[in-house]
Amino acid sequence: MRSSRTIHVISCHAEGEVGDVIVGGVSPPPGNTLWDQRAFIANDGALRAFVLNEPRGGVFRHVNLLVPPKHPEADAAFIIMEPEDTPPMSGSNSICVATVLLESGIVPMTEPETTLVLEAPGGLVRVRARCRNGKAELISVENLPSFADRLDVALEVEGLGTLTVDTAFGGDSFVMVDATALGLSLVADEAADIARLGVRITDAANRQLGFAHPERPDWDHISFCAFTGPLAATAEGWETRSAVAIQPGKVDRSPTGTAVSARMAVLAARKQMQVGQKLLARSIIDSCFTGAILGETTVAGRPAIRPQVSGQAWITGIHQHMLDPTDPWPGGYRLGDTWGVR
Amino acid sequence: MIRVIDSHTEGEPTRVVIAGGPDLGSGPLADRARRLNEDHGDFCAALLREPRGVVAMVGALLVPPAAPGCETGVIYFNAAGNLGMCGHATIGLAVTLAHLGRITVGNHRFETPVGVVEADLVDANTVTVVNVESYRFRKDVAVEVPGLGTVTGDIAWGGNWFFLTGDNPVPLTPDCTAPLTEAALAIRRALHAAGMTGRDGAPIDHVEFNGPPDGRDAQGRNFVLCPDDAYDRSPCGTGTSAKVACLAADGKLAPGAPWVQESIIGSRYSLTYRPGATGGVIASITGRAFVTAEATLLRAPSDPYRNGISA
Repeated sequence: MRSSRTIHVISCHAEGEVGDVIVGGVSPPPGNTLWDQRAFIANDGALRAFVLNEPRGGVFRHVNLLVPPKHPEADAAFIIMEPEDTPPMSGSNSICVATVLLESGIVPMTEPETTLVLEAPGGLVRVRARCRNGKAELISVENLPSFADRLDVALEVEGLGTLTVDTAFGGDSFVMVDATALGLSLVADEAADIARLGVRITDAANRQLGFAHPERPDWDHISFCAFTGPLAATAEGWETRSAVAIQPGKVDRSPTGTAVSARMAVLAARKQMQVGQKLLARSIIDSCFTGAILGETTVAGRPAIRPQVSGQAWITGIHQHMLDPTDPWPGGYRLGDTWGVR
Repeated sequence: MIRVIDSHTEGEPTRVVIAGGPDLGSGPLADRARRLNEDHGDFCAALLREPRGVVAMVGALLVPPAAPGCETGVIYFNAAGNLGMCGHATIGLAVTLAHLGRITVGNHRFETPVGVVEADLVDANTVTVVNVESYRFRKDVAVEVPGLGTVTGDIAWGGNWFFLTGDNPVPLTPDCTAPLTEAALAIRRALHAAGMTGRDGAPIDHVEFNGPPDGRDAQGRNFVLCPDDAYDRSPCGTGTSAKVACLAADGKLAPGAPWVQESIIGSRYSLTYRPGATGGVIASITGRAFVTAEATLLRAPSDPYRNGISA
C-alpha cells in the first residue's frame, strides 16, 4: 500500500443525517480561536474537498474535525464541515460528535449519564448523554442562544409570488416558511421539490432580507430554508414536521437541530412556547428530535432562548481515508446532478 | 463487522468486501449470486445506500471461486441488485488485491457469475481487463420516447445489456448530467413499455449516450445510466465494450486498433478487441484505480438505518 494522506474517521449518523468524525490524521488548523480555525478550514478548502467531495464523500455527507479545545471548560472541540458551509454549530453533527467521543472512549463514558462540554466554533455547548451498556442512547445538547430575527416579513420569490416568512438564528441562520402554504406535507417523495424550492427561497431571502449575527458580524448570510409543518398540541408543548433544505440543494434527513432551535425561538417570540415546554420535530424520513426551551437569555441585548435538542446517533463504521500519490483527483470532484440544483 | 476497501476507478467508486460478508455456500457462482440477491438484500443495501454508501458505488463481494485457476470469485452488486460483470469494479478489485498484497503485477483470473474474466495488473494502479464476449444484438432500433420523440440506437451486450444511441438531447458535458439522467430514464422506460429486450427477453437496464470526444487523442465520449439510476463516472467498461462490439459489427474499428473512450467527467479507458468465438468481440479495457479508504462498517442492531435509508 502507499498513501500520501491517512485520515482516520469514525462514521456516524444522527436520526439519518450523516455526521462523520475525523479522529486522527489531521493537524489542528491555525487560529487562536475555534472561530478563526473554522475560517481557515472554510477558506483553505483542501480538507473540505478531500473528505466531502466524490469519490470519498457526497452531498449528503457532513464531516467534523476534532481539534484541541481552546476554552478551559471544554472536554473536546470540533469544526463542522457541511457541503457548502463551515457553520457555527449543528445539532445533528454535535449529536454525532458526542456519540463518537463517548462510544470510542475519547471522552470517558459514565453510566447512566455522562455530562460533557463541547466547544463548537459558535461557542460552548453542554451535552447530557443517557448511556447504557456502552451505548449513548440519547444525546441532549444545549444549543447556542437562539433568537427570532424578523417575523412575518414579505418575501418575493420568482414563480411563487409573495411569501410570508420568518428569519431566525438557532446555531445557524434560517429563513422559515409555512409548508402548508406551499402545498407541501413534508414527506419523502417531496424531497426533490423541497431541495429546489429551498435553494430559491434561501437565495431570495439573502437578497431581500439578509442576516447578520450581532456577536459574529462575519456570519452575515442565511444558510438554510426551513419548511415548517403545522403544530399539534401535546401534553408537553407541540409536535410538528419539519424539512430543511441545505445548500447546494439537499434535504436534511434529520429534523435539523438548529432548525428546531430556531423554530422554538420564533414560537417563544410569538408567546406560543414558554420555558420548560417541548417541541417534537419529525423529519422527512420520520426520524425525531425533541427540542426544549431550558431558559431565557439575551444575545447583544435581544431576547433569546436557551434551546436544547435531543436525539440519538449510531456509529456506522471506522475508516482510514487514503490518497494514492498518483490519484488524479486529490480534491475529488463535484457534479451538478447531485451537487446543487441552481 | 464488515471489512471493506474503497477505491475509485477513473472516478467511479468500488467497495470490495474482504471480510464479514454473508456465507453463500458453494456451487456455481450464478447460484450464489442469486442467493445474495434473494436472501441478503439488506446486506447489499446497507453497504451502498446512505448513510454508509455513496451514490454510484458498486459493491464487490469476494467468494471462493468454482472455476479452476481463478484468483477469486466475485459478485458485483449495485443499489438496484446484482450486476453480471462490471468493468470498473474489476479494475478496482485488481488494484485492491494488489494493495492488500494478494496479487502482484501480471495476469490474473477472476470468476464472475457471467464467466471468467482476465485482468492484467500493469502497475499499482493500471489494469487491463479482458471482458466476456460482447456483441450487438439489434441494430438501429427506433423507440418513441415521450418528450424526446423517436430515438434510434443499437441493443448490445458487453457483460450487461445496453441501449446505445447518438441521439443525445444535450451535449455530453458535466453540467448536463441532470438532463442526461432524465432523458436516459425516459428512454429506459420507453424500451420497457415497448417490450424491447436483449437476447432471451433480458431487460435492458443500461442506457448509453455516445458522442464526440473532448480530447484530440480520444475517439469517443459517453454518458451511461446504470440500473441504480446513477450515471457512471467512469467511461463504463461494459458499456464501452458494447460500443466497440457495435463499431466492429459496422466495420468501423479493426481488431487491435485502439478506442479511447472519455467519460462524462473526462476520465478515460483505452480499449482494443480481438474477434470472439461466436461472432462478437473480446474487448480489453485499460484503466486506472486508486484506493481511497480501508474501513470497517458497523450495523448496530438498534440502528433504524442499519440497512440504509430506502427513501
